[in-house]
Amino acid sequence: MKPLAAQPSRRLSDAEIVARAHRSDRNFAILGLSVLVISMIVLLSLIVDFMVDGLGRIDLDFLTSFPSRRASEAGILSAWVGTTLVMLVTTALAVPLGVAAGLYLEEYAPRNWITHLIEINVTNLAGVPSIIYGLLALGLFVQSLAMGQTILVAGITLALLILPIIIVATREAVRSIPLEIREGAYALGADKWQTVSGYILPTARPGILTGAIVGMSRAIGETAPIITIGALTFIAFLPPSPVQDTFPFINFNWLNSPFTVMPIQMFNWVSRPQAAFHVNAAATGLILLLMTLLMNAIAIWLRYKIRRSMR
Amino acid sequence: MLQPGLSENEMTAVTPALDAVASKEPAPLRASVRNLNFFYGDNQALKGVELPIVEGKVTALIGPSGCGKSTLLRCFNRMHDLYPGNRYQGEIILYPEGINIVAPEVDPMLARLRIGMVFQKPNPFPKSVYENVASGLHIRGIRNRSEVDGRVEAALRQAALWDEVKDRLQESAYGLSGGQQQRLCIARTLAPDPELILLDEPTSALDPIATAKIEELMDELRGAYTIVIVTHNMQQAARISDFTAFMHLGHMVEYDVASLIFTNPTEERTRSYITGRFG
Amino acid sequence: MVAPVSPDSRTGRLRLTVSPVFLARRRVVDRIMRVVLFLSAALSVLVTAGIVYVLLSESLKFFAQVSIISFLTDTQWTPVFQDKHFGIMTLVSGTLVSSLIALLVAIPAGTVLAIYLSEFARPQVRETIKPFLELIAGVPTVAFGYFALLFLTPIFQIFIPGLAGFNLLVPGIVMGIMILPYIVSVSEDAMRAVPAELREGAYALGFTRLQTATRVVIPGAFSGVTAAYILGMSRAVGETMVVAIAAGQQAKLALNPLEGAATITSYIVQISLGDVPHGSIAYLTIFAAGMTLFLMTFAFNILAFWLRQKYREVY
Repeated sequence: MKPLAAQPSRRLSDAEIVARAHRSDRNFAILGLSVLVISMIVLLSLIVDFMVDGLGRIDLDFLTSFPSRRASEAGILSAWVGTTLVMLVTTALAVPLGVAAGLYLEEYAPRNWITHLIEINVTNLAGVPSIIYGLLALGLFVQSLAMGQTILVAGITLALLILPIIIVATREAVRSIPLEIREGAYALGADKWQTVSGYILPTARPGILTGAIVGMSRAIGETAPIITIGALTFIAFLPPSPVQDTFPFINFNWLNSPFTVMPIQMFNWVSRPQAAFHVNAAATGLILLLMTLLMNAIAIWLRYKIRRSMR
Repeated sequence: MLQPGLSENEMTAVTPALDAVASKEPAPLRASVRNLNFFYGDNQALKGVELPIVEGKVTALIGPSGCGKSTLLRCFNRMHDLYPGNRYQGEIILYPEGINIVAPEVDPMLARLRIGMVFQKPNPFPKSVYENVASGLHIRGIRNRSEVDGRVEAALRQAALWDEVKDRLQESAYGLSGGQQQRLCIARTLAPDPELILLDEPTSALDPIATAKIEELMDELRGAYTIVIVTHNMQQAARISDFTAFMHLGHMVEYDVASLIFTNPTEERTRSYITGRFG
Repeated sequence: MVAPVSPDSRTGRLRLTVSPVFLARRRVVDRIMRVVLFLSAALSVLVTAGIVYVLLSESLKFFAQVSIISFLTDTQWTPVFQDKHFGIMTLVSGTLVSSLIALLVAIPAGTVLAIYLSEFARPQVRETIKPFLELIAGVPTVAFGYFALLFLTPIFQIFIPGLAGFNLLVPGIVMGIMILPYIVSVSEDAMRAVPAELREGAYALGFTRLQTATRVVIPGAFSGVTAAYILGMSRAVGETMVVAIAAGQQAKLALNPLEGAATITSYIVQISLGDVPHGSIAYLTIFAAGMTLFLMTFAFNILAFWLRQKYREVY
C-alpha cells in the first residue's frame, strides 16, 4: 500500500480510517508497553547488579562481624542490630499514633477548620523531604532536648516520617468499610468507641497492616535523616541487650545507645574510594534491597487479597 | 371487628385503632408515635405521624417507596442521629415508663440498647458466627462466658439457626448463605433481649425459600417480642402482620387490624395502593 | 457476675437490663478515647510546627550573620573555607538541574504509562502491572545511589566521553526512574476521574483510543496531571541519597550536567557527616539551606494540592 500522504486529495474510505485508527492505537500500546519494559529492565538490572557485586560477600562472618578498617574483615552486625532496634521504636510509635489519627479524621472529626487544617497538614507532611525530618530531629531532639544521637531519636524521627503513610492507609481502609457494618454496630446499642474499636478497626486491619508494612519498608531504607542527626558511622559494639537474666528481665538502656543502621553502613562503604569496600556496600545493599522488596511484595499481596475479599 | 385471642383491654387499642391513641387509654402498648415530624435538613419526610405499637404483635408499615416508612422505622432507634442535619419533632413514647425516645435530651444509644434492628441487606460483622450473636451482649458489658454461651445458643435457637450452625460457631459468618446471614442478624438482635424489634424490609434481598423461613420465624416470635416491620410486599404484610399501617408522602393514611386494611380499607388512597393502582 | 435481669412491668417476663455502672464506665472510656484520638491527629500539626520552628529559629541566627541579599545573589558557596561565601543559588542550581533531568525522564515516560494504564490496558493487565511499579518505589534510595555511581555512570561514560565520574546527568536520570511510579499513579488517578460519559462521547464521534486520550482525557485531567508533575518535581528536589552518592559534593554553579555539583540536600549530608560544632556558621548553613528546600517543596506541594482539589471539585 502506498503512503497515504501521497494522495492528499482522495477521501479516505471508512475501512482505511478504521485501519489507521487501529494502527495508531496499536503503536501507542506498544510504546506504553516498551516504557514499562524499560523500567522493569532498570529494576531488574539494579537487582542483578547488586547480586553480581555483593552476593559472594554475604556469609555468616559478614553478618556476625563489626565494621573494620580492612574491607575483607568488616561485617554488618552492628548495622542490622541497629536497624532492628530502630525499627522497633519506629513501629511502636508510628503505628498506634498513625492509626489513632486516621480513625479520628475518618470517624470522629467534625467538618470544621481544625479538621481541615489537620488534613491539609497531613497531605503536606507526606511531601516534606526526609532530610527535613532529619533537621527537625537535629535541632529539636539532639540539640534543644539534648537527647543525643541515639536509637530512640532515630526511631522517633523515622516514626514522624512514616506517620502520614500510616494515617492515609488507615483512612482509606476505614473509608472502604461498608456503611452497613457501622449501622449494624450502632443499632445494637454500641457507642462510638465500641463501634470503632470493636467493629471498624478489626475490619480495617488488613488495610492498615498494608500501610504499616509500606511505611516500615520506607523507614528501613531511609538514610538521609539518620545522617543528619549525626549518627556515627563506625560502631564496633552492640547496644545493651533488651533482655537480661535478672529481674525485670527487660531493660530500655538500648534506647539511649549510639547505633548505626544498614543504609548508613552501606553509604559509608560506598563513599570510600577502595573497590573492596564497594563490595561490602553491595552486599549490604543486596540484603536491604531484598528486605524492602519482600516487605513491598507482602503489602501488594495483602492488598490484592483485600480487594478480592471485598467482592 | 373482633380478633380471636384479644382481651378487652387490647381491643381498645385496636378498634378503632387511632382512637385509642388519641384517648391515651392505658392500652397494652409497647410504644406509640404521636404527631411525629421528621426533617432531613429542610426536607420534611414525616408529617404528623400517629401510630400505636401493640405489645407482642407484629405491626407492618406499608406504602409506596419514598412514603417515609423506612424513615419512620429508623426514628424508633434514632438511626438518623448518625448523620448530621436530621431533626425530630413530636414524640415516640416507649412504654412502660413512657419516655419520649426522640426527645433531644435522650441519648440515642439508650433507645438502641432497648430497641433492636434488622436491616434490609444482611449485615453480619466480619467475625465468627458466635461473635456476631454475642456482639450485642459484649456491647452491654456482658462477658461472663457461660451466660454469653447460653444466650447465644438461645438466640440462635429462636432464630431457627442453631441446628444449621452449631458445628460452625467459630467459622466466619460470611460463609453462611444470604438467608442464614439474615437469620443470624435476627439472632444477633434477639440475643440482648430487646423490648422492640425493627425489621427494615428484611426479606427484600432474599430468595423466596429464605423469605418463607424468615416469615415463619416472625410468626414464632410473635407474642414473645413486639415487632415493627417495613415491607414493600403487600402479601407479606397480609400474611404476617397483626396490624398494618399505610403511609403515603410522609403521612399516616390508615392504621388498622391487618385483615381490615386488606379487605375493607376506609381510605381511597389505601384502596388504590393495595389494589395495585400505584406504587 | 451474671447480668442483671428485671421483670418487664407490662408482661412480667424477665428481661435483660444493662448495668448502669457499665454504661457510666463506657461513657468515660468513650470520652477519653475521643480526646486521645484527637491528640494523635493534632500531633501531625505539631510536627509541622516543629519543623517550621527549628528551621526558622536556626535560619534567623544564620541571617543575623549573613545578609539575605548576598545569600540570594552570591554565586559562590564556601562556608567552610577561609574566604566564606553564602550564595544559595549555587546549591539551588545543582538541585534544579538534577531535578529537571529527572522530570525530562519521568514526565514523558510517566504520561505515556499513565495513558496506557488508564485508557488502553485491560483491568487485569493494569492490576498486574501496577504492583511492579510500586516495587520500584520501594527500593531504598541509597541503593539507587550505588546503582547510579557504580553501574550506570561507567556505562554512560562509554557513550558520553566528557562525562565525569561524579555528574548530575546520571543521578538525574535515576531520580527520574524513582519518581516515575509516583507520577504514573497520581496522573492515572486523575485520568480515571474523568467521567465515562466524556469518553463515550468521544468514542461515539469515532475517535480512536489515542485520540480520546489526547483530546478528551488529558484535557479533562489537566489539573491532576499537572499536579502529578509538580509533585514529581517536589520529590526530585528533596531527594538526597542519589545525589549525595553520585553527584559529587563540589558546590558550584551547575552549568554543565556532565560534571558533578552539590545540591541543597547533598550539602546538608556533607556537613552532617563532618564534625561541625553546634552553633558555628557552618552548622547554621544547613538550616538555612534546609529552609530554602522546605520552602521550595512546600510551594510545590501546596500548588499540587490546590490543583488536585480542583479536579476533585469538577468531577
